Amino acid sequence: MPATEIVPTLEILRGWRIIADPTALDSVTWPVTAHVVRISPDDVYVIGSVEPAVPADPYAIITPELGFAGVGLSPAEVAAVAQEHIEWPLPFMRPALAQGQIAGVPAKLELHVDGSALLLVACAARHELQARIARTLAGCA
Amino acid sequence: MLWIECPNCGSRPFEEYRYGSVFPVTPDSITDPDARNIDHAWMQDNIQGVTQERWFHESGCRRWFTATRDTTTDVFLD
Amino acid sequence: MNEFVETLLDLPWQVGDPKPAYDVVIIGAGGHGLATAYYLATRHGITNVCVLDANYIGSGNSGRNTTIIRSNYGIPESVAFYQHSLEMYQQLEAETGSWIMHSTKGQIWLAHSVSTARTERTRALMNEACGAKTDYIGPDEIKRLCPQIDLTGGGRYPVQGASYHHEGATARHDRVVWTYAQGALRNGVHVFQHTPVTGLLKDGDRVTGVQTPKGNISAGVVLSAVGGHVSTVAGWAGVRLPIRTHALQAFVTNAYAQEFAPIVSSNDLVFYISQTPRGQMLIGAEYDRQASYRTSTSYSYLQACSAKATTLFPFLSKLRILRSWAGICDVSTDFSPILGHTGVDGLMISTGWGTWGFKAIPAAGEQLAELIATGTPPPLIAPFGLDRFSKEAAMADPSSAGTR
Repeated sequence: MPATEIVPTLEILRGWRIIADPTALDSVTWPVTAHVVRISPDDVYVIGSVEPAVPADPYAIITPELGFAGVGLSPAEVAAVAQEHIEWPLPFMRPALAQGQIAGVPAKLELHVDGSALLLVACAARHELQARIARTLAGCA
Repeated sequence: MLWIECPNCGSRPFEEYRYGSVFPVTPDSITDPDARNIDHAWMQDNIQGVTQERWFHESGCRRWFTATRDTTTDVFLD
Repeated sequence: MNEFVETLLDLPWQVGDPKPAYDVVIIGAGGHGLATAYYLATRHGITNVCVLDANYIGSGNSGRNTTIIRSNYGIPESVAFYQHSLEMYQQLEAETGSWIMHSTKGQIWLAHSVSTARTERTRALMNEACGAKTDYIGPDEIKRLCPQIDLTGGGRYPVQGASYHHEGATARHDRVVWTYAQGALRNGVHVFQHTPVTGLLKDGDRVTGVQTPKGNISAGVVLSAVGGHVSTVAGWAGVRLPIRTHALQAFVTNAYAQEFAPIVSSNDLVFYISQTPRGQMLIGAEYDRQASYRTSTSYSYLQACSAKATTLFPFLSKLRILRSWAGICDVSTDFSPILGHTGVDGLMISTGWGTWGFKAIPAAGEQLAELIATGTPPPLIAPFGLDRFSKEAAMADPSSAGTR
């Protein structure tokens, strides 16, 4: 079986992108089904189908975001990807969001308390990143 | 490897960033409006030493920020 | 010892200190400064000339380039100027009797996409019209000229075609500097190494000489042929320059069999490669985006450039990086050189040489010598004066620098 077939693939995620006042974003109660990624103080990526609201900022920009692809990684996969494809040290604390190049492709790695992680990448680069890390992930399967 | 401090993402490798520009400053000694326009369009301070400039964390949070850098060593200050 | 070490170099140095006054003082004893002195002496009989360098001769960018000579530029004025320089290089060994290891190799400028193929077709037609021998060639001809190339470009950068510049050449950079130094010294020019210029002498608005640790030297004309610190020199005279200084990093590998004939550049990958007479593969790429005066190289650059080079030339992955260096390029805002008057009496300038300085040494030296001797810019360099920026006559040629 070719390696790529047993590798978990980067799927396009449905979500929302919000640009708003940082303090207003701090006070938001997010939909219970949503997964929230804080890209920067005024920039949030919310994975989920329910449209979020930012009541404290009437000028908040909330748009559907279909520009990211993501895949969940097991602790073993995180370790293997870090070993092979990440040239910077992973953050020590958990949870943490690391934003930078993975296998030379701009990507984000959301590290969870249990050691697993969510790997996010711009849709345009998902096949490229998939190809670059396929062999590493296949080794973990 | 050179590391740059991003206000959002912390210390990150140099390759993740893109250089924007220095802040161009036309000297006050140039008073003629046309000469000021020409200076602003073409001339460079080209400072040999510490400069203030804009950098973009392209592969990370994609935010612009101001950095202080020594152009003789490429070392980022403060 | 081998032929790369100059054992018979005869440089008749002056002893002692500079005289208190010269007709012409040139700041910077690199290729440009020494060539100007050489042509002042040989073409115009002006020998009361002094060339000063903060370090040893050729220690700046003349020792930190990638030795490529070509004339396939993007605007007619540039093609004419560089073609003249290329032809002067072809004759330099005969004129001086000194071996500069000149070798005509041909330059292949690759296109990997439809848009860059159009760029290269345009370049070939424009160059032909302006007197630089250039043809557009297809993948088969490229493979014949350079069998090492992977025409699929690793599957990602397929080779669509290229402009082929027949007279593209290389020469040994040190020998070019030594040849001009020798010629200038033999004709009575004074050259002082380790003599930094620390300021300019002024009489009112006029520049009348230079300050050095060995004393003040007055001069009829001061020419700045400085690389890398030119904004500082011009600043002493109150002149603002459209120059931003960037580092360009380059490296050589260990030796490969002498089989790599041409110079190859890639438009989309932005790197270029040639083989030195020693057999080393010489590879350079675009200059660093940030303004910098740093002359050391970085791991991230070497890594990125190696990745590009091995994409097109898989055999390189078997080689090792031997040495690396960085030249500091004074890049003008319109990507063309700046030659001649500065608007300040007594101060002339030769700068804006970006990544295209080495190939211009003979022509710039010859033309500047004529300008200094006659006071009038010769037609070949008249379009490249500093005043072009205030006349809305900038010589924009960003696509020909081999960088972006």
